[in-house]
Amino acid sequence: MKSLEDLQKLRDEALKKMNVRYVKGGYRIQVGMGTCGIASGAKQVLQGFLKEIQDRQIENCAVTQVGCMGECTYEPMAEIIDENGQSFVYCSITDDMIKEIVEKHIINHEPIDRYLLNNRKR
Amino acid sequence: MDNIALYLLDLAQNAIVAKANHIDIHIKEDDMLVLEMKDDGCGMDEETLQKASSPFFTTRKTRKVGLGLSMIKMVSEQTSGEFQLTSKPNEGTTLKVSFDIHHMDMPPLGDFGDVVVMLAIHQDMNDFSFTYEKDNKQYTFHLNDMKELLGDTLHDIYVMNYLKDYINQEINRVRGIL
Repeated sequence: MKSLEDLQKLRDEALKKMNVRYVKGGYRIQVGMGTCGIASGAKQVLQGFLKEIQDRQIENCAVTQVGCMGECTYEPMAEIIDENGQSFVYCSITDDMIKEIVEKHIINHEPIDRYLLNNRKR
Repeated sequence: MDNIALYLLDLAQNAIVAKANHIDIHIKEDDMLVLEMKDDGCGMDEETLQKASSPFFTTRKTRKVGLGLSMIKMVSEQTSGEFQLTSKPNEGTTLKVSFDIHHMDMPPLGDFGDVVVMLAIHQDMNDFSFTYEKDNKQYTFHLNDMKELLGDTLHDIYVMNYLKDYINQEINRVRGIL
């Protein structure tokens, strides 16, 4: 049975981790959730990123959602903003790509050029 | 989109784009499922309101179709429900849409807990409340209350997952499933 008391305990644990996270800086993953994104599977993509980050116990990464990113044909899309504020937009994301993006980009700091919107639009 | 919760997620984006300070989402379940969403965003003039549920109308410049409202209107009509959209410029918009929950074309309800948490972490969301009501019992989630309780940890993955399960548990309690 879930309770608000247990949620508060979880919050306190999360706060301790966050103090470490803010010192190191981190990544931000923004998943496009317009009608086009949702219809293309953006919810599964967001859940996929959350699961991958949880499974790999990555501390320096926040996942959030935004509206339509303006390139409906290439949904589902996610923008990754690194610790320097640089933006990378990944498009037509699949489950396998999520694992690869997290491993190479978030953990090893190596963006995957072939999945980026700019390269796929050419 | 294959469930009501996903439609809700989509429709709330319209209110966010309309720069709403508060979005009030209310779902009431009996023989009909009635979903009402009120926002205090920029609203629409009469001409825009008339076109709003057309799939070939959008205020966006990046594409020429706007499918969110038209799809939920279609689903409500398919299930013998009703679709009402009212709006005034600078006052906000109210959407009321109903579905016959026993109709053979009624989509699954979907994962409301998941959708509420996703809305809560939307970067442009100011505040919203979500209420699920059935048989005089109800559960209400207020984003601002939760922000006060959780602060930045609202974006912590473990907190988000727990919160999602907690919301679903409370909805199931209201629905008499627990």
